[in-house]
Formats: sequence, structure tokens, C-alpha cells
Amino acid sequence: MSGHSENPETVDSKRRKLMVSAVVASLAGAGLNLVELAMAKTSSEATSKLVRWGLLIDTQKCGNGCDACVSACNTEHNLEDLGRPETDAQWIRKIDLVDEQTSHVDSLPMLCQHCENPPCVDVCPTGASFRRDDGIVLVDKHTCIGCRYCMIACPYKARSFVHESLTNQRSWSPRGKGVVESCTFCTHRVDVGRTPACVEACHVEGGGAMTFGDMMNPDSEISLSLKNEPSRQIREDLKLNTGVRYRNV
Amino acid sequence: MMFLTSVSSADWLDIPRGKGDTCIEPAEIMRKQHMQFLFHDRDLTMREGDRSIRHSLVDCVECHTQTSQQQEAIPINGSGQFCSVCHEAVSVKIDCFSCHAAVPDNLPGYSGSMSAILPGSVNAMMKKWAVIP
Ligand code: HEC
Ligand code: HEC
Ligand code: HEC
Repeated sequence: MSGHSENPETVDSKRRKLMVSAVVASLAGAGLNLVELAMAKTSSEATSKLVRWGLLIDTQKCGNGCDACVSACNTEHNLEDLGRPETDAQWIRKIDLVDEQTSHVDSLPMLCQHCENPPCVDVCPTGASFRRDDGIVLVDKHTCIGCRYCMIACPYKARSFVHESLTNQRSWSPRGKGVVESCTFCTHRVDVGRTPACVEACHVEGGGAMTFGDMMNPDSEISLSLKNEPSRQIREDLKLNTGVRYRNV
Repeated sequence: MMFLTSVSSADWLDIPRGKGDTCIEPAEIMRKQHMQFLFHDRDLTMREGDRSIRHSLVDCVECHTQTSQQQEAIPINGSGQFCSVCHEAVSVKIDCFSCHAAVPDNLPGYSGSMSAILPGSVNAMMKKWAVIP
């Protein structure tokens, strides 16, 4: 991405945004279904509360030995294998859920669940852990002091701390020593209308188990699946209202 | 022979020139205010997902990185390089490049490495999910 100069398109899309809100306002009076107007933003727009990004994972389609999502994530963000599994950063990992009664094993990817009520945000002393308007939970590494409270608070063990100096970072995924990090739902892609790297890989190389989309839009594929078929949140007892849902667990 | 008053404070440093004719703001404004611009726009991307910021650190690196005789990009924060000349002179230390790439990224960044090889059907599905207006 280069040459981010002020261009007419920027101005136009800002105008369009204004117009959309005007339309919303006028339709609200008419009592029509408004949610359909929620749509993905263009690159210059701010995230919107009318959108909530979510991910539905069908564990039946998620292959036992398949780690296409994991390696795609590692490549996209250059999460290098430093040979120290105890501390190496991990934004998405494959885990086996074992039913204690039947010994049935489900293999599924575990990642930041992008909770509506994220415990990591509650405990963060600096405000570095935060939730974007569109539901994506992030670490603002510019304000993170590396205290790691959030790592302890997260019931999903979804966050990593960077213990060592890094090199060869990707321009779209700055990473460095001394701060906490986790899955970003690939904001750098989603913000410009693309799907996260893991989801892409799951459809190209894996079992096509992942559906990504806007859970606030009733007509989106993810909303329809969530409506028509049973799905679960992991640790639903915690009432975190996760943005990542699972089928067939 | 120049009058000292007309000499900008940067003229005695050997600052490598950026690509193109002009910076994103007039050079004399950039010299003084680049840090404010960067901090301001950083929060727009980080907090609000605005991907069209004017003062993007990625863009500074695109335009201000020097190339070695072997045609390799020299890290922009290396000694004597663009983001270091002035800072060394005034004893400013920045940590931006402990995280941010200090050379331009040759891979097709925001367009991603995989989309090129995506089968048409998958590509269509991805587009549908994203629902770009
Ligand atoms: C499109 C290419 C381009 C981009 C992007 C760009 N610059 Fe520049 N910059 C230039 C050029 C060309 C000059 C020299 C302009 C002149 O002399 O009038 C320059 C001049 C400067 C100067 C004054 C240097 C001096 O010799 O005194 C500073 C400081 C500067 N840029 C900082 C930045 C920062 C910080 C960023 C990122 C936020 C940035 N630039 C982005 C091309 C660019
Ligand atoms: C023309 C000289 C010059 C160039 C070139 C330059 N800087 Fe600076 N920069 C300064 C000066 C002088 C300060 C300190 C200003 C002050 O403290 O008031 C500074 C301060 C900063 C700060 C704030 C540091 C802090 O701790 O508050 C940041 C961030 C920064 N520069 C980033 C950059 C980046 C990134 C580049 C390369 C793209 C760059 N600068 C190139 C002169 C320059
Ligand atoms: C601990 C790691 C870390 C450090 C240190 C860091 N950043 Fe960032 N920065 C990030 C991350 C992560 C993002 C989000 C990138 C994205 O979503 O594209 C980011 C984004 C940005 C952006 C918006 C993206 C763009 O187009 O450039 C700017 C501007 C920025 N940082 C400026 C700075 C400056 C200036 C410094 C140094 C004073 C700095 N950052 C230090 C991690 C860091």
C-alpha cells in the first residue's frame, strides 16, 4: 500500500457515509428493517457499530491433521518458529477437545474469540486492550506496557507475549519485543474488504470449515448459518458473547 | 555565504532525499511536525480501522528508504539513514522500528500473497462475505 494522498475518492466515500446515515435516519421513521444497510466499510471509513465481525467454525469439516489456518496465520504475520514452543507467539492453534464421558475427540482451531465482554479489556491497566466498534478485540501495541494481565484473564489462552527482539516483520503486521499480541481477525485485510488469512487458507487448502462475516447483517452467510443450524460458544457459561462460534462440538 | 537566519536548522545535516518531488506536506512542516502527524494518524488506523491515513509510517518507509549499490534496501533507521540523521544530531531515540518494518515490503502487502492463486469460486465467496458496497 502506497501513496495515501488525499484523493477525490476519499472525499466521496466520506460523503457517501453521510448519505447512508441520512438514509438510515429517514428509514427509521418509516419503521423498515435497517440492519441490511449495514455494510463493510471502505478503506477510508471508520469502523461501524452496525457491523460485528464473526467467525463460524464447523468442526466436522475441520480435518484432524489439518493446520492450514495455523500456517497461513504464521505466514501472514510472520510468526516465526524460534524453536521455543513454551514462549513462541501463537495467534491460532489446533486443539483437541475431549469428551470425558465418551472419549470423543473434536479437533478445532482456537484463537481470540473476539468477545463482546472481553475479560482482557476489563483488566488492562492502560487501555491498550480494546474492542473496536465492529467487535474486533485488539492490543494497541503503542500503549501496551507488557504487564500480561490480559493473558491471565483470557479463558482461551489466546494471547502471546513477545519475549525476544524480532526481525523481518511484515509491513502490515508490526510486531516487537515487550508487548502482548493476539489474533487481529486480520484487520489489515478486513478493513479493505477482504477475509482473514486463516479463512482463505481453510477454503483453499483445508476443509472449508470456516465462515467469516458480519453477524449483524441478517442476510449474511454467517448469520443464516447461525440462525438455521445449532452452534456453540466455547465456555458459554462465562457469558462473554463470543464472535467465534463452533458447530458440531 | 548565507545568512544564518535564512538557513533552516536541517541544512547542515546530510539528509538523504526522498523519492519523488515533494513530501506529503511541505518539507519545512514535515521537519517540525512529523511526529505529531504520525502519532495522530496512528490512532486512526489502530483504533478506528482507517486505512487511508495521510501520514502512514509504511509510506514514509516506501519513499525515504535508500538503496545500496547491490540494489538492496537499507533499513531506514540505520545509522546515517533518513530516520536517524536528525535524531542522532538532537539525541532523539525512537522505537518504532523494533516493530515496524524498516524496509519496504516487496510482497504484495494488503493485496495478500494468496488471493492471486485463489480458485474463482472461493474468490467469489470471499467477496460475498466481505460485502464491499
Ligand atoms: C511520496 C513520497 C514521500 C512520502 C510518502 C514521504 N515523504 Fe518525506 N519527503 C519526500 C521528498 C521528495 C522530500 C523532499 C521534499 C523537498 O525537499 O521539498 C521529503 C522531505 C521530508 C522531510 C524533510 C527532510 C529534509 O531534508 O529536511 C521530512 C522530515 C520528511 N520528508 C519526513 C517524512 C515522514 C515522517 C513521512 C511519513 C509520514 C514522509 N516523509 C513520507 C517524499 C516522501
Ligand atoms: C529533519 C530532521 C528529521 C528527520 C529526517 C526525521 N526526524 Fe523525527 N524528529 C526530529 C526532531 C528534531 C525530533 C525531536 C523533536 C522534539 O523533541 O521536539 C524528532 C522526533 C521524532 C519523534 C518523536 C519522538 C518522541 O519520543 O517523542 C518521532 C516518532 C519521529 N521523530 C519519527 C521520525 C521518523 C519515523 C522519521 C523517518 C521517517 C523521522 N522522524 C525523521 C527530526 C527529524
Ligand atoms: C510494539 C510494537 C509497535 C511499536 C514499538 C510501534 N508500533 Fe506502530 N503499529 C503497531 C501495530 C501492531 C500497528 C497496527 C498495524 C496495522 O493494523 O496495519 C501499528 C500501526 C501504526 C501506524 C498506522 C499504520 C501505518 O500506516 O503506518 C502508524 C502511523 C504507527 N503505527 C506509527 C508508529 C510510530 C511513529 C511508532 C514509534 C514512535 C510506532 N508506531 C511504534 C505496532 C507498533
